[in-house]
Amino acid sequence: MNPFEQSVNAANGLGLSMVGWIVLILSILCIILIIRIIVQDPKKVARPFGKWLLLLIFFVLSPIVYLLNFSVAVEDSKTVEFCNSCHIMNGYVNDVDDPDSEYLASMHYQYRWIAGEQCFTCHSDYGLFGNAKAKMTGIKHVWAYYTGFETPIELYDTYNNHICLRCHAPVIAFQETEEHEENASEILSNEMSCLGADCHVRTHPDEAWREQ
Amino acid sequence: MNSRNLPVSSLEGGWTIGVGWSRKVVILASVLNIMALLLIILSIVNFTPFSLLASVSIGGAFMGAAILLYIIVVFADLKKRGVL
Repeated sequence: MNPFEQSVNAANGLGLSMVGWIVLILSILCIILIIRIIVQDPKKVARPFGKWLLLLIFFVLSPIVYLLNFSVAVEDSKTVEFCNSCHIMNGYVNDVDDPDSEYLASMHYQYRWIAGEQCFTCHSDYGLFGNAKAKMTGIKHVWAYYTGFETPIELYDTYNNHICLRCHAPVIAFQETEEHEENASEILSNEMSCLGADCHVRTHPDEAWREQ
Repeated sequence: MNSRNLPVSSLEGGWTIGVGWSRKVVILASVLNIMALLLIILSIVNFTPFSLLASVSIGGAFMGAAILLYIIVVFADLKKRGVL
């Protein structure tokens, strides 16, 4: 590993986020308190202090821990490394990580046209509920990964051009390209896909799903 | 009957959570809550798709069940004391 890569890894790998630490400390605190009340001094369960403390743990602290953990999970599951933890994704991530690859996803990754969370950025819809929808779909995918799924894996629908457009649309060079100008309404309405043989090259290798 | 032989709840002015079936339910709720918290700790320490799924779905179900059980005990307690 070269020193540049090492420096990036060192910066990214400082351990848990602050919210992660809060979740960890609160969880351990709750467990210790419950055990102290229930096991070490059972009479405390019947005393107001014990009951109120259990009430606080069950109704306030634990739900806070759950919600904070959920927010940490949502953030951490956006990383390319997380996507790569399912073996079916290995081929796709190996390709984007390959400096010689000329696939669209790889170019975006290699040149850091997308700075981070590259998989998530291109696979979450634009809009207020885009991220939430992508996360729900992601949870379904994780479930499917453990319970079984059909191969080859495919998108549910035609790729949404607006995901490309949220970065490219404001760029003058994009706007002034003849093909884009001529087909603007078709591109904006998703009648014509950005991806395909006539326009931009394929995003990933067709057989990437086989490489597990 | 002197105060030494009374159930703990009587000493505390009517609270009965620590007595009989309600105590068992509180212990069950506590165990469920601890299991949910352990799953969350696992997810924080070793974040994988499996630990994510376990902490969010199984952990959430355990935590929800613990809350429901405690609500049942509190309602039963209040009913017994004639508050409800």
